[in-house]
Amino acid sequence: MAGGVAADPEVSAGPGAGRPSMLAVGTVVWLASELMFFSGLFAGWFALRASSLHWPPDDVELEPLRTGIATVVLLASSFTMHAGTRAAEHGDRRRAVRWVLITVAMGGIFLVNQALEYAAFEFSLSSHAYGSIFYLMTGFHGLHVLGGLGLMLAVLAVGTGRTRAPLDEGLTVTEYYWHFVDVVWVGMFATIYLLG
Amino acid sequence: MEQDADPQTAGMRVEARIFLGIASFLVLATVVYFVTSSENAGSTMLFLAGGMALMIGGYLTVQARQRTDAAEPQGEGGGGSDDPAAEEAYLPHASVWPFALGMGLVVLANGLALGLWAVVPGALLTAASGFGYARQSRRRD
Repeated sequence: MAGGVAADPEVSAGPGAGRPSMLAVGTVVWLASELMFFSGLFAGWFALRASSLHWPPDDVELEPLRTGIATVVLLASSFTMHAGTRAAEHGDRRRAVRWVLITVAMGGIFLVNQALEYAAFEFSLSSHAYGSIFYLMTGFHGLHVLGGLGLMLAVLAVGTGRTRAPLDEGLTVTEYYWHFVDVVWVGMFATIYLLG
Repeated sequence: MEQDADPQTAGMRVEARIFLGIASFLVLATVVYFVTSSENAGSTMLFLAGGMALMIGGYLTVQARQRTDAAEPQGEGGGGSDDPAAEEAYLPHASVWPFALGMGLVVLANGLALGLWAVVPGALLTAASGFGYARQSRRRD
């Protein structure tokens, strides 16, 4: 490395002093495209809502308070994820693993609650247009949460134990993904459960 | 601007400006569209497209600022034209895992129409491929 480069993790994690980590830039660009994916679903929600006489249909009974609590759990998991990344940046792998596993558990709680809510609903994907768009939106989001948990475990699997793989860069971009999933859910919760 | 003279930071500033410009246009389009149509679906998509551009433009702007603040001269002469990124970025070696992951997802997704007998093997193959793909990167060689 050039002698004049500052010992800054953001600089050393990526290539050279002048550019950020390509992994991080690529992840941000990808997340922007994922936002476009969800925007189609949101637009579908509003389009169907505008062309329906009765919205939501009578067999739909949502529990905003219960889902709101799950939302808080998911939001809190963003903080635990950040704690994990910071620990990794400071070289404390064990603390990083601990925080990330806590994050995985909290994400798991969110998904379990979602599955239980699904089981209790009296409407399905094919009941009516509302059912279709509801399950598509929340279902795809749930899959993103599940994928995020898998990503966290994969990053831990690669970066722990006797390995030369760095943990901080992987956790940084995983954190970006997790915050994204969080923000999308806040928007989705507000649209489906609060706006209605 | 002085920063623009540095080939390393100039690129990011231009890219950041491109995306911030796109974001500005889309936000403006959202306002005009919503006011004239009062239509929610299109307004939502325009707004989120603006968000997309803002994500990228904002991130690159923050990165450009950090590098300007902590600006250090390149140690070796001619270090600007050599791309240190090529030496430092790690890319996994070719393996069966990307293919296996793809096949797993194909079987899993088709299983949603075909039945559980396809979903389960598809899910197992997907999980195993993810595991193998991650393991492959441990050695960094």
